[in-house]
Amino acid sequence: MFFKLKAGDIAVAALIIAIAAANLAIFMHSSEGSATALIIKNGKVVQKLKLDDINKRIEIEYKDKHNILIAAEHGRIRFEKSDCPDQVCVRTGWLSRPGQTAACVPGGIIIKIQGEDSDTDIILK
Amino acid sequence: MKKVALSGILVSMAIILAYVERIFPVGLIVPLPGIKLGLANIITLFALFYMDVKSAFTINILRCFIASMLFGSITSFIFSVSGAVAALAVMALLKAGYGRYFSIIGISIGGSAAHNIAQIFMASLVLKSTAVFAYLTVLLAASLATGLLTAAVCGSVLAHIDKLKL
Amino acid sequence: MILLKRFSALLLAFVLLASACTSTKSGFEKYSYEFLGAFDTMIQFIGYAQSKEQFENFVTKGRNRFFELHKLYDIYNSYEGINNIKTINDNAGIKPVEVRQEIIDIIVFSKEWHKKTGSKVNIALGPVLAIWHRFREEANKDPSAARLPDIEQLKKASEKTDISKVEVDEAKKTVYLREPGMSLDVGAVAKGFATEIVAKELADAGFQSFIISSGGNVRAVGKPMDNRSKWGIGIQDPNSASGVQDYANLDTVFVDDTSMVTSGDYQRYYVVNGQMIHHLIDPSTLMPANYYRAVTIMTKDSGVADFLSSAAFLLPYDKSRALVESMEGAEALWIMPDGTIKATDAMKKAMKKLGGARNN
Repeated sequence: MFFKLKAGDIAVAALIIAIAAANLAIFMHSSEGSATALIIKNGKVVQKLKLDDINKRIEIEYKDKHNILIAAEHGRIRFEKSDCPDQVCVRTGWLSRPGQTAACVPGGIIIKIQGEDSDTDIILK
Repeated sequence: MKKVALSGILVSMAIILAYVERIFPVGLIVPLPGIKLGLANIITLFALFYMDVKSAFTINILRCFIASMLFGSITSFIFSVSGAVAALAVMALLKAGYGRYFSIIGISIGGSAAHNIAQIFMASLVLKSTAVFAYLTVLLAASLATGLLTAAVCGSVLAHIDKLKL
Repeated sequence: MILLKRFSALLLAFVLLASACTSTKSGFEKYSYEFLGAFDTMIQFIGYAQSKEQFENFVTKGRNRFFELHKLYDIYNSYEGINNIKTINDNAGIKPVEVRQEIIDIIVFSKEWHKKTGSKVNIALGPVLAIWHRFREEANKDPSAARLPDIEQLKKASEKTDISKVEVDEAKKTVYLREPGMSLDVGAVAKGFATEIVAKELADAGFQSFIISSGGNVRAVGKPMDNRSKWGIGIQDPNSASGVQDYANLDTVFVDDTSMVTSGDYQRYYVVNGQMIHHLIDPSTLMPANYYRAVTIMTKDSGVADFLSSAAFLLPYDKSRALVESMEGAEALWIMPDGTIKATDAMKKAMKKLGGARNN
């Protein structure tokens, strides 16, 4: 008598599967859609870009100590050009994941992707 | 007084189940310390059917407390209490429709799912991160299996007791 | 039944008390801060503190100390009222210069480790490194003018690089370069040495759980104050650093209370005829060493890790591995020119892709 399957049992199982599927969908969607890039100049955030909302390529130029061009595309950002003498910033390449950083030391500019990676605290480079 | 004795037996059985649970390598799939499959739900379900909600609640709290003292931590205590209370709440609710809408299977998997959802909620509060929800899907899938197992064990025990007219 | 009720009330009180306890224990938040201007790199602090103010107090202290140490170890600029490494260089063959203890310490350390590590890392290599530095900067300003320095010019400069002619008087706190034309360049060790000083001072001041990253140097102090027992340090894939691809991590290493330092060919370099000319110069050939793309050292002291990573980068693999294995508590990861990875056993165990776990 305990095991006689009722309609409600199926409903409970269906509900659990639905919650599981919805959770999977939400999680997959949010994990790819939340990267925000900060451009930091002289210790202050001067630009905030939601990388996943970018559909057309954006170019931002800074003319100060050095001429620096930052390019952002859908989901990623980088130092595109710089006339600084060490070029480390340009060589860092595209940033796309939370926690990644690139810096132009002579130009005084940092790009940082906001947020946390699940198990990497910092990148040794 | 018979009730107290039975509660005591059930608590100690639940603690043994909590110990057995440590053998399952849940940590390999879900690397959050303190997350449990919820085998002790067998006891909760039994208490709910054979005794009443109040006794099931008391047994739950007691076994969580003792199991965490024996082989857990504060974190695992919080996880297991929240899981146990949520499971009991859902199962008590579903039991109102027992016989008419639900069999022991639906009640059991409902409780098992509630147990896992509550644990993940607590984990996200403790770790202050919503990233832990990544594991909810896996845990819910597992809850169907543990729910069935719980129902099978509990149901056959209850059937035997019925036969014995205890 | 009454007994049961009382008991459950008592337990409820326990539950409340327990949850109150956890909230203070997990009352630590993770913060991060980064700044430019010291040691020609970006310096990052990541740490757990009970409040933003507390974190900022520690970080301000650390930042100021980095700026101070930068001035002391600077070889390009002079500062009002400070005798730094440039002052020592400017007085080569002229007179001993009285300097602060931090400078004495780094020079004594570098002389000692020069001997211990196969004589490849030489802080007296300044005259040679200055030539390379000039050629690199000119090439990066105008890539069409990129060229290699003349070997005769390098050889001539290398005559003034005898580290035994760097005299330290620890009692009088003076440093003297015995020959005119000599110069110190502490680039291979200064960042790591400074990072260790700052990390120790912040730990002594009560900062229990943090990471300092200073361009290729990572110093992790304590453990993360959340449910993990290890920090995760990403190792960059040298091939992703070309500026074209998205940059990617080779692997994540799980560690606590240690330092990791990478010496790599992929950041400071220039290109001549399609060939990468990087900044890690072998004192015996006076040319960049090409045994590896990168070498990462893991050991507790950040100064030692920095020095060892340079030494290991400049030695061929068998000698490099022997050197690391002879150092107690040091582990290493070598990325070969063809991209293959070699690592010591304990390093392998800490690596995520090879099965390292963050909770053990």
